[in-house]
Amino acid sequence: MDLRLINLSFFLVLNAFLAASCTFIKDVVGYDSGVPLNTFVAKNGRYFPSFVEKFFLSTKTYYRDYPSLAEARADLKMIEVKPLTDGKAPFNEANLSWSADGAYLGYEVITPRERRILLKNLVGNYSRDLYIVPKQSHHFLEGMVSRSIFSYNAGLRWSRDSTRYAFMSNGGTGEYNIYVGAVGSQEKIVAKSNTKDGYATWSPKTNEIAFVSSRSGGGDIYSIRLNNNEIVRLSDSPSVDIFPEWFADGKKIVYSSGNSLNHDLMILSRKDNKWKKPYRFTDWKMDDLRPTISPNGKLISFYAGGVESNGSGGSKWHIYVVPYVEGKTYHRDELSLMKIADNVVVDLNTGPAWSPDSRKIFYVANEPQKFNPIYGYDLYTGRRFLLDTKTKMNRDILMSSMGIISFRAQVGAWDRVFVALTNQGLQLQNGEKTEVDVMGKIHYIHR
Amino acid sequence: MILKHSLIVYFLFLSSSLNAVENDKNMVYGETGRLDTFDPYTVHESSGYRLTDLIFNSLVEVGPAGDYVPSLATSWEVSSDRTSVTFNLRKSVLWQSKNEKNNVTKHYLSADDVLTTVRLLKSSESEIPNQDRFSLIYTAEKISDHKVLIKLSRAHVDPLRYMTFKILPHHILGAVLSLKRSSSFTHNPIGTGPYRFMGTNAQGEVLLSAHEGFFAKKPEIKQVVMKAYSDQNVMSQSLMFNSLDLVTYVSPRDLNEILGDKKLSVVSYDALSFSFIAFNTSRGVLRDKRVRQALNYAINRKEMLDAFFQGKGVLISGPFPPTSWAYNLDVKSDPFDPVRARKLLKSAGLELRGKQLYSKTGKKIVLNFSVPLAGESEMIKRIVLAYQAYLADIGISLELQFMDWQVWKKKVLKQHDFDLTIASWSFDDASNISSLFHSSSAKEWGNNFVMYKNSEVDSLLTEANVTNDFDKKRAIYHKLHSILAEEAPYTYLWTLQHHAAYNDRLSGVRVEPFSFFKYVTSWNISSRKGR
Repeated sequence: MDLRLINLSFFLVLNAFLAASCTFIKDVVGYDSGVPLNTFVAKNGRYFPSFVEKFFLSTKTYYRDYPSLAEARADLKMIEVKPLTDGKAPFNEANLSWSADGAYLGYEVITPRERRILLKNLVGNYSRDLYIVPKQSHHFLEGMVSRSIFSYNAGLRWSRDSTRYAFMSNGGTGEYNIYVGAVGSQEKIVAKSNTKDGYATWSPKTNEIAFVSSRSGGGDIYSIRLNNNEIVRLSDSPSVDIFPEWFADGKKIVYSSGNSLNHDLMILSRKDNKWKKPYRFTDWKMDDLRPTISPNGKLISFYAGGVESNGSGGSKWHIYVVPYVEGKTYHRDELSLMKIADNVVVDLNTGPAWSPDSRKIFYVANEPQKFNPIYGYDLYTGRRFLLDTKTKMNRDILMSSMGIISFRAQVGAWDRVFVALTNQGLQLQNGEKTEVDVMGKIHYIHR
Repeated sequence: MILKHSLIVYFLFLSSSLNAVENDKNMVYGETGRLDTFDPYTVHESSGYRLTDLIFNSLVEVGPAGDYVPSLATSWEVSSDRTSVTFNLRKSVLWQSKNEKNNVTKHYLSADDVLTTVRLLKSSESEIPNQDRFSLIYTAEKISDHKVLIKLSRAHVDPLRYMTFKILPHHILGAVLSLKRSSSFTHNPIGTGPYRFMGTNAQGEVLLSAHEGFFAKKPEIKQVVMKAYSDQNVMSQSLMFNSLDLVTYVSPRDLNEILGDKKLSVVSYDALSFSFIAFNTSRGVLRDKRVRQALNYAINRKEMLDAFFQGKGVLISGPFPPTSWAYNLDVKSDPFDPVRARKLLKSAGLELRGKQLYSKTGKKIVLNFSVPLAGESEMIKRIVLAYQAYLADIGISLELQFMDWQVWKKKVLKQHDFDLTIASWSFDDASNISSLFHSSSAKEWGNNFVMYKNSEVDSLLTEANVTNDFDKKRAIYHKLHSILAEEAPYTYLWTLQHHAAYNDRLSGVRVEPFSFFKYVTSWNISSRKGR
């Protein structure tokens, strides 16, 4: 009991130091979000901006092999795969995330005790180690606290202006809060409570972050306006609400909600700056997890599955893609026809990955003989493409706006992050017709 | 029609009960996977064994020091020839009932309950996975209402080891011929334990309520809810976001995040199993001990343990956990030494040409690796992928064959049609490895599926089984450990450390590897509202 009291006072002291340390850092939350995104436009014979060309040297060969824009954008082509790091250190890497313009990236490094986030840009002239620890030394308490808390930093998500980011950290103090930082600046806490905050995700339109917090009981969805630090509770359910994702218009959020074996998708929306009560978007017996929204904001993809009934104890997961229709709840009879991939590896870090033109989904298939290969699925032709990355045990897939796929894969015994340049970048594919948002035009499997 | 109506009412009732439970001083804990039955025998998931620990009791339990302590039996006497045990049963042990508040007929423990339990355990029609674990129990005879004799099929040095089975109610099952998964009892179990089963719902959640008539210390926590999850990470997040009070198993990937939360506590416990790569010692180059040893030196077990399990386990050198009395600490785990591996292969007459190893007759060395899968089986795939890379480095190619668990059992355990495979043995505190390495078990469906035959090992195993001298038995097992490390029928990988996590509402938490909830009556919980 004595140790516990000492422990509490220790954290009170730490929090006071943290609050003090935040007063002098550059104000990252008031940043104007008007920084222009990469405005590169592909033309015949040149399809990537210089920072991509410098990183992927095969771009020159690609220009030569496909001199016209029409040839370059056709099908799904993988141009070059390379590891992001030299991959010699004995630790795992995971969960790579891209800035909106595809120039910056962050990924997590997992050591036996800690998890830190490394920020880089593709050009290679920017690097930062996001690793929040208490600012002051507390050696006088060493040996008196009941257990050591190590710094845990994860879940980096970028703002739409590509210069700011939000992530979750326990600050090395044992209290998970939402931090915000900016390229060239320090990080500061923007959402703080003595319960866990996590899953921060930046609005694509506004200076707002949605996140999950248990500050009022169970896990609920909250938002914080960074201009005035106003925190609003958006969901209030007896279940855990988790995996929030913004729609492209910044007016709606989808998330998973539920208990035990049955999570459904819920939609939050606002009108005239006022959030309405969430409504159920999917309603069936499957466990619906980790929704992601197409960049055009019209389709929602998610994993659905659950425990197999063969007594093995294993689970089986599939990917479904459902058009968003305001106020509509989808039930079993419709949802069961909206599958686009069978038996996939569920990946709760990133969810199913969208191509920038909202036309393709990238995912990892549960194919043991190939050690979990990556596939792309074209929603409008029903064609499935195997991405021959030569990597195995792939996971954490995302695609940047430049068409670069990021993922982790096992090399020897360790997980490494890889990047693979494709011809799926928005600058290349923008001319394609992508406004197919009617359910009947999507090619589902098993129809 | 009536049945359907009743079911709807039942689920509505249960659903509202669960919501009420979550808002009060009750414990909600998480498990992965859905349970279909809730009795201690037809269930085959570890989560089921944990749940039935809350509902049922056995005659005796294994105490903290590894000794036997009374439970439903207050005393016992082992016959001089060690072929039977006579138990004196505790009086006034009340069986649970669905509605304990009302004036319903009360049933108390008697010898008939033990007789019915043994009869159902021995019934060939009972659907009990691994029923052969009860094969040593021969019969039970009633001496009086509270005295019962259990006979073994042969003498055993430690008969009480086989008396920790859970006792079933005669007043419910007395007229039942066998225990089936579909029976009413397996879905609505009645026990003598600290909690009674109240029901389950469509999401696989199970509600338990304190058994007011429990014969020992009454539980401090009045209601318990078990929630089932299909994904371990979602379960861990539910703990961290305050929807669960306890998870019985934390995935290694989630452990550091949980350790980083000051409101959560983590308690570790032995996994009670060891993992291994098995060599079919009756096939091809694997007949040669030097080749098997080379395979051991070729792999970096420490690297795999660190990369896949965050180092949360212990490398082993033989077929026991390091905490077992049978483990010989003088036998060291083979180090990662590919140079030594290549030398051993050369001494066995195998030749490395370029990056491929060839036999004396010029045949490529390609080994067939049978890999069992259940669901995604991420860890199995990771280990096998790394293993393939280590062996490629010494010139050995692997032909991987992934298969469903049931197919694997037939191919490996029955047909012995494999060169290499990967598996884990779960063990009890008996540490009896006879069936794993005795030549008499090298047969169809025998546990010695690696077909290992060594007359010295056979003699030692037989000698260990018959001796009643514990020091002698330990000495024999230490020698067996040494021989089986040298002979390398397996690559012994590791035993893992498991972790449970709980929030600061719970206090007094102590877990026991063989019986997770053994001390649950001493656990306490504070109000959710007061946090």
